[in-house]
Amino acid sequence: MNQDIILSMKNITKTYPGVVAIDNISLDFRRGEIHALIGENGAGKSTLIKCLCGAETPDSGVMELNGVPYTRISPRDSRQHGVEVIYQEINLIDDLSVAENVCLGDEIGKWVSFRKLNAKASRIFERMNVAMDVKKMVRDLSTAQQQLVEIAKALSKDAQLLVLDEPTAPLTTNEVENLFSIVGTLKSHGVTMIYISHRLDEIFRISDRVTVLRDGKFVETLNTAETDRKTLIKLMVGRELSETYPRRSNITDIPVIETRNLCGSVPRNINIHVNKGEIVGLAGLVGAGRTELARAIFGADKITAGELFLDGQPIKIRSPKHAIQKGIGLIPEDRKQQGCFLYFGIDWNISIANMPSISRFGFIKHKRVKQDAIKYRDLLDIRTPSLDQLVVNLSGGNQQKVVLAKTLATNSNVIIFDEPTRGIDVGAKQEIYQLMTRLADEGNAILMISSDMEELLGMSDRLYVLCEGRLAGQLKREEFDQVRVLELASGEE
Amino acid sequence: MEGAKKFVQKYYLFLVLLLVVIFFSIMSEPFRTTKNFINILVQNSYLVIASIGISLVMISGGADLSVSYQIGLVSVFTGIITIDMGLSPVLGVIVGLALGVVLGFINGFFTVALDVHPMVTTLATMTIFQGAAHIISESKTYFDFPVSFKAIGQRYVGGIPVAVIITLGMVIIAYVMLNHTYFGRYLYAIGGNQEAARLAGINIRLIRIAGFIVASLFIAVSAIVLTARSGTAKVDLASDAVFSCFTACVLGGISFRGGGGNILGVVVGTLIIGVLGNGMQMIGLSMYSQYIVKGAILIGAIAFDNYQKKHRVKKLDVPQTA
Repeated sequence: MNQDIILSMKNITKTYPGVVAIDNISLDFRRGEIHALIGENGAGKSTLIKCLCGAETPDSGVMELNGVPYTRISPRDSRQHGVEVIYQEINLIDDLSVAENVCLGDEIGKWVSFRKLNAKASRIFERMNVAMDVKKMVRDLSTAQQQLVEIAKALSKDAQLLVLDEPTAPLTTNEVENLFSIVGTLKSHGVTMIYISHRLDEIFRISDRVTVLRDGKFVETLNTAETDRKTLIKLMVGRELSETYPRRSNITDIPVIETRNLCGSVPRNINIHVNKGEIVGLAGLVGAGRTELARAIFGADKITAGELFLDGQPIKIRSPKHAIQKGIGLIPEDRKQQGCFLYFGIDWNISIANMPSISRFGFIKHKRVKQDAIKYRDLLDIRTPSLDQLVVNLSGGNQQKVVLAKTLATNSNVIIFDEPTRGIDVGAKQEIYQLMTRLADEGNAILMISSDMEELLGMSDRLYVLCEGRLAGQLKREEFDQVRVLELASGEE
Repeated sequence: MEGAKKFVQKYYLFLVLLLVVIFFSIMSEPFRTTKNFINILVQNSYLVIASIGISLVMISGGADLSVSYQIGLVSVFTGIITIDMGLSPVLGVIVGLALGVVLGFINGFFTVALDVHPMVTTLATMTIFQGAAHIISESKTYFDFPVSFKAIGQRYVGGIPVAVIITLGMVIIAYVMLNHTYFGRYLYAIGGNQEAARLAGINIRLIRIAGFIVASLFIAVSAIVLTARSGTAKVDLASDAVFSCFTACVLGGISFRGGGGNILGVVVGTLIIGVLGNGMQMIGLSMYSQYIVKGAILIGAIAFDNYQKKHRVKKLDVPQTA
C-alpha cells in the first residue's frame, strides 16, 4: 500500500477548557480519494477540520500536508496547500455578483476588470459542468445555487483538498443528485475531498473510504465498499450503556404539558406530551427542530399553528415572561450566550429571573437574594469562594449550575433542559442527572434535549425522535435502542 | 505593592479628578478659590444630571444622541409657558418634565419598533427635536424669567446652591433605582446579555422604552436647572451637551457595550470634564485648543474601555478547573 498521501495527521490532540475535543488522532488522506468522516455530534469532526484549516491550533501532534510537516499551521499556509472548506452556513456576499464572489480575494491585475472576472468565473463553472449566470446577484440564487458558488469559490483558489461539511443538509433530493455529479467531476479532476455527513446513504454512494470518530477518538477507517451501515452505526455509537443513571420512582400518566399539531419555525405538526414525574427525551440530529420546539413551548419563538395544553387547559404562551409565570422553565442550550450573565455575580444571576417575587413595590429584597443564592449553592453544590464571584470566573460545570439555579428559583413545574451537560465534566454531569431525577420525583415534568445519545437513553423514561422538523417516532423505555434512534433521526424507514 | 495596585484600580477615577484639580490649582491662582469650586459644581450640575440620564440608556446597551436638543426643546417650552403665556413657573416645570416623558417615549418607541441601534434613531430624533424647538420658539431667546423660576438655578439654601441640592437628589434617585429596584437590575441585564435577559422573563421592549423615558426625565430636569441658572431659554442652550455627556459616561466607566458601570463613576467623570473645562479657561487656553483636548480625552476613555474589555476576554480563555 504505497499510496500518495496528501494529508497525514499524526497524534493530533486538541483540548478546550474542560473537554478533550480530539484525542490523539492519527489519520491519512490519499490524494484523489473521497474520504468520509462520520461520528455523532461532538465526536470531534469539526475540531479536526478547524485544526486542518488553521482556525484552531492543536495542542500536540503533527500534520503533514503534501509532505511538509506542521505542528501548527496558519490559515494562509493551509490555503497555500490548496485546503478549502465549504461550511454548512453559506458565506457569500449577497449584494455582489456570482463572479465577484467567486473571485473575491484574487487579484486579477491592478484594476477590477469585470470582463476578466466573469471569464474566470465562467471557466470554473464549466469545469464543474454547471450552467450558471455569473453576472447574477448572489441574493437572487437558491440555497443550492449559492452552495455551488461556494464550491466554485474554493476551486478558484485552486483547491486540492476540499472539505465539505454537511453539504447536503439544506438541499432537496434533486439538488443532492446535482451536487454528487459535481463531486464526481471534481474527483475525476484529481481533487481530494473530505466529506462530512450524518446521512449514511450518501457516504455509501460517493465515498471511497470512511473514518469513524467517537468522543474525540479515532475508531476505525474502512474501505466503504467493504462495510455496511449496521457496522458503521455500531462503530459510531460504540459503547454499552453504563448504568449510572438514576431511575424515577414517581412516574404518573397525568400529562402536564402537551402539544397538539404544533408548528413553529422548524417544528411541523408536533404532538408530544410530558407526564407528571416523568423525564421525556427529545432526540434528533442538529437542525431537526428540537431546540426550536423547546423555544416555542417556552414562548421564545412564535408558534405558527397548533395548540399547547398546560394541565389539560389550552394556553397561549406569549413570551418567556408569560411562560415563567405559568411555571414553565427553560435551561437554554447555549450557556454563555443565552443562559447566564457572565460579568455579574452568582447571586445576581440566580435572582434575575425571579425578580418580581423577591421584590416589594419594585424594590429588591436583598436578603432574599442572598438567601436564595445560599440555598441553591448548597442544593447544587456550586463551588465558589463567594456568592458575588463573577460567573465568568467559574468553570463550565459551575456556570451551568448557576443557569439551573436561575430557572429553579422561579419554581417552575415544567422544566425543559436543552443540552444540560454540554461541555461539562463527568462529575458535574452526574450531579445534574441526580438533580433532574429529584425534580421529576418531586412531581415536575421534564423535557430533555441532548445530542449525547448515551445520556439521552440513560435519563429518559420515554423518547421522541424528531427528523427535519417532524416527529419521526416515539419509543418507550423498553424499546430504547441506539441504532433504532439513529435510524429514525436520519429519516431511514 | 499589591495593595497599592488594588487601591489604584478601584479609585483611579477619583485619583484622576484629584490630579486634575491639583494641576490647575498649581497653574492658576483664581482656580483654587472656594468660590470657583462652588462655581464649577453649579455650572456642571445640569451636566451631571443629563449624564446620569444618558448612562441609564447606555447601561441597557443603548445611547441617546438627542440629549442636546431635548434640553433645547424643554428649555424653550418652559420659556413659552412662564414668559409668553405668563403662567406659573410651577406649571412650567411640570410641563417641562411631562415633555421629557414624551421625548423619551418617542426615542424608545422608534428604537424598539424599528429594532435598530439607538445611535441611529436618536440621531434622527435629535434633528427632529432641533427643528421642532426652532419652529415652536420661532428661534427666539427668552430672558425675563420670573425670579421664582431662576431660584432653581441661582439661589442658595443653607449655604448650598439649590442646583447642587437638586443634583444630589437626582444622583440618589438614580443610585437607588439602579441598585435597589428590579427595573435597574433589568437595565443591567438587558445591556449585559439581551437574549439571556429575554429568556429570563424580562419584557425587553417595555424595559428599554421605560429606560429611555426615565433618561429623558433626567434630561428634562437637567434642562430646567440649566435654563434657571443661565436665566435663558433657547434651542442651542446646550448644543455641546451630547459630547460632554458621552465623554463623562465613558470616562466614568459606563461601557459602550452596555451592562456595566455605576452612577458614582458618572458623577466623577462629569466632574473631571467640568474641572478640565473650567481649568483650561482659567489658564487661558483658547476655545479651539479646548476642543482638541476634549476630543483626545474621549478617545483616551474609549481606548481604556476597550482595553478593559480585552482584559475581560483574556480571562475567558484561561482554562478553569471545577
